[in-house]
Amino acid sequence: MVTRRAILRLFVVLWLLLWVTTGSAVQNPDQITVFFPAFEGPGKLGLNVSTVLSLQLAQTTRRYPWPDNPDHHEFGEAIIRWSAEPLEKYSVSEITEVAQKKNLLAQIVIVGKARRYSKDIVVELEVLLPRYRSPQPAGGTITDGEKNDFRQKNFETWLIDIGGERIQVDLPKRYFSISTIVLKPEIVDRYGAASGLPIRESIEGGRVLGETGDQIRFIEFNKRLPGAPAKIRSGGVVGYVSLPELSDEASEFADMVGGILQVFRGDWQWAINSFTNVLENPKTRTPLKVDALLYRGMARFKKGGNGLSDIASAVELAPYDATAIRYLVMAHLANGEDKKTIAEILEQKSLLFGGNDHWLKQVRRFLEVH
Amino acid sequence: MRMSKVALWVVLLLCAVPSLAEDRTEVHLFQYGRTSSDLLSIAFVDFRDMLEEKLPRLSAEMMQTEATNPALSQLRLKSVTDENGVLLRPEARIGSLDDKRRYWRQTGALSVLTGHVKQQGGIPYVYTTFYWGDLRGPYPEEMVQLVLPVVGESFDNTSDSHSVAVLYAMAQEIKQDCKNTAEIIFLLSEAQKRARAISGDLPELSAELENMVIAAIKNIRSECSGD
Repeated sequence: MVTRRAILRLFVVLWLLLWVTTGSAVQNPDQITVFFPAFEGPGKLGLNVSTVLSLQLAQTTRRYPWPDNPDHHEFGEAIIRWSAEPLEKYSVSEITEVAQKKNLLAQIVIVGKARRYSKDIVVELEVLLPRYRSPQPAGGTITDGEKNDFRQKNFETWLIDIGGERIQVDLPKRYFSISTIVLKPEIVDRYGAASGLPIRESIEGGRVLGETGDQIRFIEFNKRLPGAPAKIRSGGVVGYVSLPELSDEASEFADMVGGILQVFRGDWQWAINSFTNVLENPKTRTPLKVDALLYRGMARFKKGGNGLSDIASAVELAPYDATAIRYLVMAHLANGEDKKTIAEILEQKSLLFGGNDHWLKQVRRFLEVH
Repeated sequence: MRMSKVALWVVLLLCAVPSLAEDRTEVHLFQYGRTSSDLLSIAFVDFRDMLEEKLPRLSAEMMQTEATNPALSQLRLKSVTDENGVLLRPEARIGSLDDKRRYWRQTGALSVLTGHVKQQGGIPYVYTTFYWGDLRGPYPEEMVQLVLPVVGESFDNTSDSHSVAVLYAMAQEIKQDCKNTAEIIFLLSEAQKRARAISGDLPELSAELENMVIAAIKNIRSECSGD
């Protein structure tokens, strides 16, 4: 016979289980790796610029139990693998091959080059997000030859499980350029020959203890302080490195790539903050703006809100972009919009999709069945 | 004797087929004018180097998304030079519009670039005449005028007027009636976003290019969906 106390105990256990599963805290068991080979460039300039940018990027992350994390989210490890040597080749297939080596398995790769253009020294930046095999591919198919990065959760995938169909969209882009950074002349002078960035004894500055070398380990970030001093360990020296302003204009680099890094980690709030910075930056060009809107819209949905207006803005900027239309349909599906609206969008935009488009077939199947 | 004649015809046929089917993927660049001063001459060299790097990157960006046509991977800049590697002035090969048309037909170029460099407000600007011959699509002219300031900010990856024109021409080149509509619209959509990207610096050119691209998309829609 089941006693009242047993029922009460069962109720408490169930309530606790439910509380755990529906709690807002994110749990990410996976490590996200950003690979940052030294940039090509004259003297030590490429190396030093890539060090500064990697530190800027590292400062866009938060982790448990650091400050700014009141909900005790656990976003997993974000590791920046930094190489003192530039890559030998820069084609997408070759960068992908390096990124997917078993001892690296990077999800984000930043490659760059510092070079003279007109009277300026500019830094070109490209971002590659190598494709890995999804642990739960929509449609149950695994593409031949896709490498496995052994992650359990793929927060970057927007997957909607609806009416027996698992419909998902890929990231807006897997390879793209960031606006060129025009280096300040004093940066070129100071870091063209310096073997590394000075490591100082205290957060306020003080004595120089050494310089950054081939290996850097990030210990602490202070993004809000002037110079955003980062505590690091490099070559056995522990101290603070201040990050110089590379350019007169704020680059979208740290915000865009930082936002993408937070999407991979499932840190939706900080992803939204980062993409907002990208969208508020007057330097951001339309192609990147469209992607930032799509990412922010998806992040808002994943956080439990509504990102439709962001995605609709992206479609307004790029009305013939198939990816933007996919995201728009996903937004309507996520909002439980009536099927007529979705069917009308697909009807109007059908020419944007190839005859064998897997995603389109899935959505149409869903519309027919339900 | 008869056999050797047959063999010769077979060889000629085999050689002819791929050349007939070959896609136009090379952007041919001639020496630009008004580059007598050091400043303008260096600006032109920088512009050429930038195009050389930009085109493969543009093709890589396209190939990583919706576009799969192998012709895109062949996109590159070809500097038209003499036997000593010196860039030819246009008058050496394409002195008249008829010469230009003939050159475009015979060489299989995607487009032919001529132009000049001019300094305005301390900044060198490259003015390009981008000749695309039969690849004009619905655009009324067989060439379009482009502008690019040669400063650090304009180096800027692949969001510029020249990338817009290259994507537009490439879309016309690989168009196969209505068989690869999605891929063509994808290229034109990327061109449209890039045209809009220059609206801050060059608003008139931006609007002209965007209208051109949208007209091409609407043209495809009416051809392929009967709208």
